[in-house]
Amino acid sequence: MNLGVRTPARAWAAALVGGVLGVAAATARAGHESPFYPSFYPQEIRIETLDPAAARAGWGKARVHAYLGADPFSGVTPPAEAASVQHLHSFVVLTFDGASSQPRSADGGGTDWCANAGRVIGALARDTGDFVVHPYPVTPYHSDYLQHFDLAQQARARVGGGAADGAGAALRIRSRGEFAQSLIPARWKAPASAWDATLEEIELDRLVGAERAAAGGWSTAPWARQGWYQAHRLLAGHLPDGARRAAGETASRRLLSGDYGGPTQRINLERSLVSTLRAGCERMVVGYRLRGERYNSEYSIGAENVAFDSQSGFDSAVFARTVKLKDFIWNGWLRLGIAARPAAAWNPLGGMNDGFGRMLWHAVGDPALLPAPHGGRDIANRVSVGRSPSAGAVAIPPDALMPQPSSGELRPVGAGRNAQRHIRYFAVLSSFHHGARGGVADIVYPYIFAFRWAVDPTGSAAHDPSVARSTALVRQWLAGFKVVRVEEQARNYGADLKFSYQVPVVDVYLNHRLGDPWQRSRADLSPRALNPDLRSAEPGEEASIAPPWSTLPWEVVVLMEEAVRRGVAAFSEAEARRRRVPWLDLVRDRETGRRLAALVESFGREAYRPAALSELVTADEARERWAALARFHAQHGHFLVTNGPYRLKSWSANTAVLEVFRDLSYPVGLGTFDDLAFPLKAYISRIENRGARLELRAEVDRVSRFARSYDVLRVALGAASREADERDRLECRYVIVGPDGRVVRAGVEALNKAGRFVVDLGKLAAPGRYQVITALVLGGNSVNPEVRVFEHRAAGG
Amino acid sequence: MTDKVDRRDFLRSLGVGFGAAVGAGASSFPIIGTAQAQGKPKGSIPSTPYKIGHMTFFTGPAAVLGEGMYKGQVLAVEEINAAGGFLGKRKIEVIKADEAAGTDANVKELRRMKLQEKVDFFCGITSSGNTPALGPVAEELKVLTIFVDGCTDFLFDKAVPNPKYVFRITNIQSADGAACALAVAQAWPTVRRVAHIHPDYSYGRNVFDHVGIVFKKLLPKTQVVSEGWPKLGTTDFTSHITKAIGAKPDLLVTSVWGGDYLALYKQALQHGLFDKMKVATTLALAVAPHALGKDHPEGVIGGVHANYHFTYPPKDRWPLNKTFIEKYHARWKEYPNFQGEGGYTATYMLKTAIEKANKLTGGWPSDEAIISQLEGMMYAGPAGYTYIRPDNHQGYKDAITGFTKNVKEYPFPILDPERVITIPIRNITAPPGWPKGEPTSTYTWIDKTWPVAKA
Repeated sequence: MNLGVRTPARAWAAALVGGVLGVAAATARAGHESPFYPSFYPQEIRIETLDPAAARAGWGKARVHAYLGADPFSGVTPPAEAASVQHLHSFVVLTFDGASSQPRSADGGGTDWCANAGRVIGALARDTGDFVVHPYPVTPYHSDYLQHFDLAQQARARVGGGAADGAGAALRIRSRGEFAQSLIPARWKAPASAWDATLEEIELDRLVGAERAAAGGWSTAPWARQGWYQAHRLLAGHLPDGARRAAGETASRRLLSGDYGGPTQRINLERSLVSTLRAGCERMVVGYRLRGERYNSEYSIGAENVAFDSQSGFDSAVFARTVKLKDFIWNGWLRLGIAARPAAAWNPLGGMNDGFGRMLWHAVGDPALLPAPHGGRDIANRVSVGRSPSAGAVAIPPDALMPQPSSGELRPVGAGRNAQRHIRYFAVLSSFHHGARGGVADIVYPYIFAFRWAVDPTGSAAHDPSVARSTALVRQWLAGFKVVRVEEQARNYGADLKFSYQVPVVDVYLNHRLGDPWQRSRADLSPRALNPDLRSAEPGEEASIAPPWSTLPWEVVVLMEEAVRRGVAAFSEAEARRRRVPWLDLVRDRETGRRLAALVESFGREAYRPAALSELVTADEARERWAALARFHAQHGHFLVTNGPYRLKSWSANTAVLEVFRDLSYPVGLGTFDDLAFPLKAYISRIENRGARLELRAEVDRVSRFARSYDVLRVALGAASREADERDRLECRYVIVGPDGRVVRAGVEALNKAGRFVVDLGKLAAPGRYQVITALVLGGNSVNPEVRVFEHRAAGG
Repeated sequence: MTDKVDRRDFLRSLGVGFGAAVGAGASSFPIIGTAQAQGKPKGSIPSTPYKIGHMTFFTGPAAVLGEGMYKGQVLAVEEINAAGGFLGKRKIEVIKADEAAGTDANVKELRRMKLQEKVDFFCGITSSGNTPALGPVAEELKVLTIFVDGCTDFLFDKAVPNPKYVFRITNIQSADGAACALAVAQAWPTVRRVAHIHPDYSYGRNVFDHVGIVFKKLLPKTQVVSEGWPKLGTTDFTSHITKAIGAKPDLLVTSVWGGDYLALYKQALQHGLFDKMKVATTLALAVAPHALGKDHPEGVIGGVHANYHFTYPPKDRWPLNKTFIEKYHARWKEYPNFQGEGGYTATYMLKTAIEKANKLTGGWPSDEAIISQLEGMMYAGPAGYTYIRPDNHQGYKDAITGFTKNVKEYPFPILDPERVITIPIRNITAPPGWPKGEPTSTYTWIDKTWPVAKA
């Protein structure tokens, strides 16, 4: 098999095993400071299930540095040191699902429902604490809010102009859940037997949780966090059969496969889809709810530098990668409380999908890219993305490889094949927790796995619908891959502080492409690229779909596969129930652990590796890997081996203790993501109309750190600013909506040398009134932006 | 040299000061250059901005050091600009770059700063890995440079042995180990059994070497009974602590620093280490004044990189330090570390040199004229006097160290104001003309010239 490079695969493996790492011979040249520390601040993280009362009781004693779940101080005055972060938690929706609320209009268009929805929202609608009335499914907490801003404003105005006092005959509204119940006025509450509509809170986690963190952390859907997609998940199931449902499904399919002409068409398609979903008012978004999560900010027992996700709070990879104890410059013992008990099995391919499991996996696993916590594109973590040279279809090299369905065998794609997108990845390898160095086999095995676990018509044990679903995206998008070469990249801090890394360069070809309206046209240097010399583009939207990356060593994945095939356990809870076998747990199920250990021993004797890996892994290498896994299990008592920043150290029924993996081969170091702990904003301070263009001036937040605290200051950004990194991170996004309500242009502008943004208003074809909708984004933070709308009248032509 | 001398006499001859008094360096010289306003400049001065390229760590573990350096320089720049800029005309612009990019990238960034941004002056640098790489490039580019830190002896010993454009104002690295050892010899002359715990890279070895050579001369009866070399990234120091305790030493010397030192001392507390032996450190108080907790034991030799701690010279005796601390705290809401003082002092040394050169030449002085004023400058700054040796462009100021103490004014331990130890830097540094040596010139100079003290 030709893997597409001249260097034989086994030579790569040998090179990787022999890779240079760590500290070389000492001289007197280096100083006391080590500018790089692998992994992140706490040396130990203890995750413990606690109910809110227990968390509250332990707050002042540093039993809890942060709490994941409902506010432990709900209903009481929180202490001053109980700091809070807020994130989008849920939608509140009204569904006309009662027997007496059938559409009355002749065409079934639902006019009455829309009117009724307006009345209900008017009656419910008061912003209260964490609830925000927002009768539109794309919210300020979505990165695509700007392109829906005018529509959201219109929706709000319609409600505001309606029967805001709830006048008229009361509808009978039933509720699901305590919060929904609390919103409904008494006279509108439905008896149990009859109702017109149902009001309920739908948590984001329930809506898109599975898509935000796919199996193994290998692949995530870029649209899972976007408003239009969540709107589709929320509302599409309630569309009546017919033209509107068909239109909605067509629009959704086109958006998911990039079937549009460019960013402007995409925006119009998104707007059209959301309008279609909302048109009949079968189900209406009433508003959204924020959740505050607490962390202890007291000096000296508390924490600082806390990053969180705007849609999942502390339940995010960036939290463990930034949180720092106030009492330590680095190191220290972090204690997290979590409301949820560990219910899901601890296997990252079909389990770890509850709150506790996710929190554990965020720290133990290490995805190729991290979801941007405050909007924007994904953040490079273990891969850098090179500039994609192609603007359209690109020929796939004949010797690029594709896995075969069921077998996963890698075969050349052959001549004459085209792809829609070519992405060059630089994947930074490191050692796994069991000491073996990562290799090419590890990072391409997820492709093999995805095709091995494709739909199996026989219904045998070699199939799990849950795994098939979570890997479907890779199968749909991947058109081929080619390992181009293996580079050595270095961090050089002088003299004896040099760190070298093996970096396979992999070209990945995709069947589809997305038209990201906010992708900047110029070549950006990723600030987190391992080697700043490597010109790296910000990862595009598609980069997270099929990256050549795995945080699990191939033998752990193979072990799980073989355990499932042999009936030891099942990947997913549903399949475990169906087949009446245990849900595969790599850690806590002793009997499963015993059977897995027996498999490891057997595989070690056989030097087993799947046929699909036979060209990438020698028998000796396979034997070494199984031996390393056996040793790890003997030492640590579990098989949850990754190449991530934390390693599972111990556990009990309600706790997990993780120890930092400060291995010098680990390429990401503390401080790498610190800027995410300060989601700074930018503001338009002045708009000047220059006829054919708008000129905007900016003010920005700047963080000033001191001792163990910080201030955020708002300052004007002028031409004289020498904050080069800040200028690079600042952008102006704009959408121009034409007289017919369609978007005619959208784009992103960088700050010019005069310290201004320029939005071109020329060449607007149709005469009439245009809305120029603008917002500034600093460091990718597009959450809750300050949006400014400028009216522009064009003569046309 | 084998002649034996009395240890106390020799310490006295070295000028090792011990107590609350201002050190010799700060008391023996008149104030020559300070942050005082200059007179009317001579000749025509352009109003074009004066560009400073500042490079230090803004990210990563060393940012706790580097940000102070930047803050110190920005404070000085704001003060100078408020008075009109250099010579009352040239406002200063600071262009910053993150030293965490790595040595190769930093070299490129220095070139970019000079060739594209046209910086007039380059400043900063925390890492000793970077100064030997950047020094020769600064010379090649002919960019006037003051390294605030990057204190390796290697810079002027070997990388730039005949500097023209490059200066450095922090004490050299060998002073850390030497100062620590002299403090032990002064305060605890009866120690015999010595344990070491040092980070397993060059800094740790440098401290080990220089403590060893000073002990060989001043405490010749000491013996090393335990060595611990925790690897970079070590979080669990238990094995090193128990090994040290097991060797029953009188003294532990450690150069573990930053977050690692926090983990070490907190774990050492659990093992009762501080009750079982005396402890001497080189950097415990140097990283950031607020870094240590009040649980840190008192009476430990708390090194400050042999440079500066904000509580010394005492405010009541050295107004320059009092003013600096007040201004720094007002601007940044924290107390400066030695890098903060260094960034501030470097900027004012440049200002002083520009003003003196202007008085000689009129108009905006050339770099050569400024350099001539920096060479041999004795500058009075917050830390006391810094003297720039003309032959190697290295700044020298009294090395200091002392003992940790908790006081009610601060929520962290400070240097015990009653027991500060000062050492004239010239007495622990190889003199001009001394042959370059291994591991450092200072090491060979001590080895070959210091007498062995009688016990």
